[in-house]
Amino acid sequence: MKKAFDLSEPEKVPVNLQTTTWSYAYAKVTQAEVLNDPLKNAQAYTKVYDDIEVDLSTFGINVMPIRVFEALKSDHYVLAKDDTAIVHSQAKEDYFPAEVYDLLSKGNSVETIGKLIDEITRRIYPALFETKEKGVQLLKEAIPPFLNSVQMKQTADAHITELGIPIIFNAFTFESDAPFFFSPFTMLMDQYRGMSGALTDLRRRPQQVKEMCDAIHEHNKQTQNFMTDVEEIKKKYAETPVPFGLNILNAECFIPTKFFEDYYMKYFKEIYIPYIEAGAKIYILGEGKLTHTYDFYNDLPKGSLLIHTDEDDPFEVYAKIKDRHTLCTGPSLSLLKYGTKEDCIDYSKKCIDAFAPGGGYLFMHNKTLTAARDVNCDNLKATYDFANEYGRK
Amino acid sequence: MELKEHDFTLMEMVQEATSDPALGLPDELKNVVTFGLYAMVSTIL
Repeated sequence: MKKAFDLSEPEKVPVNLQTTTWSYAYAKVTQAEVLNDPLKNAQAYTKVYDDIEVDLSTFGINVMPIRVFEALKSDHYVLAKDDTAIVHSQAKEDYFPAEVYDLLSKGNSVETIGKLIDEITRRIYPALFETKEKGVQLLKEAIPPFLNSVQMKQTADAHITELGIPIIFNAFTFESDAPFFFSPFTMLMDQYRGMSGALTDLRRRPQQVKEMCDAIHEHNKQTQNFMTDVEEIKKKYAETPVPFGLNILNAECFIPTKFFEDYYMKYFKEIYIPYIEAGAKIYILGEGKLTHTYDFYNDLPKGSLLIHTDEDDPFEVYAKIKDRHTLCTGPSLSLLKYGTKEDCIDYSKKCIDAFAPGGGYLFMHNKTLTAARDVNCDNLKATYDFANEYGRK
Repeated sequence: MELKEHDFTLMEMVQEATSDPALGLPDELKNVVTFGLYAMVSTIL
């Protein structure tokens, strides 16, 4: 893998699986059926890794502990109608009004962000914060399902490690080798103002949005212990063949090109440059259409990024980033669901033929596997079997 | 818009919950649960 990501031709094209709760459907169970039994749960979740050869896993185990949310009487995450996926109830969220920007001028902006985060937590878990007595009681009730979830994750994590599959972002410990990074504008959109609020603000009050992003960024720096000393980071990576970081792009597809440097790249570079200089590879998990943004990454050191595409035409993206960064792409979930095996294999062959020569290619599907019916499992297995075989020299 | 001051914090509640002798959490596990549960609730995603 290291060869491929360093942009030289590897012995085999590496393949990646980016799955969350869909893994249960692959094992032919629903999440609800195994949720209360940590060992059965772990066994079901990891079956796909037993059956399909993968060289890398984006998330390892990535399941919100739904019973903990239930115990805390929060509907922030709920089990979906397929009894397998988990729904993030963002559409129901009570976001801050536009007056939230005025708070920054009333005092210490970093402290204000801390208070806003506390306020958001209280909105996500309203019952927990009604009274202290009630909150303590709910937390006591949340401990058994929390321990159940820890046991499931430890078991599944150990199994994936035993199979020798590296994980980009360990959703169990919430860590990657280089930091996990949500940009300030993504946080502003997802948590503070919602999509319509944040996108309206970007047109009507861009300066206030920028000030809020700066404050969120400063707060992140003060609370998340990002490292800045390259030599220290190198020491940390001494035993890690390919140290990964993860940046998920949620709101970035909506940022106009003229704002992209100031409202995203500037923060990205400040956090990641020391890690990149120490040898980290940052996996950029794209959501939406981002072709217009990829030129911005080309002044970063060669081979420092793994760029995952979602709804973009991968051949267009390749034209922009080839010889600079690794492209992470392959058949779409739509093709894997509705196409024939031959369609999926033909498209995968086309991708491997086009992107693999010279290295810099990671074979994978386009979107995170989440719901039970996201793909036809037989198509996915046949496609990955083909890629593993055809991608060998 | 005003931000309210609150009388108690999440960490205070988590510590009180995990310290309940009725739960019988051994000290080592108590720390794991305290920080794990606190991190889960306070990490807004």
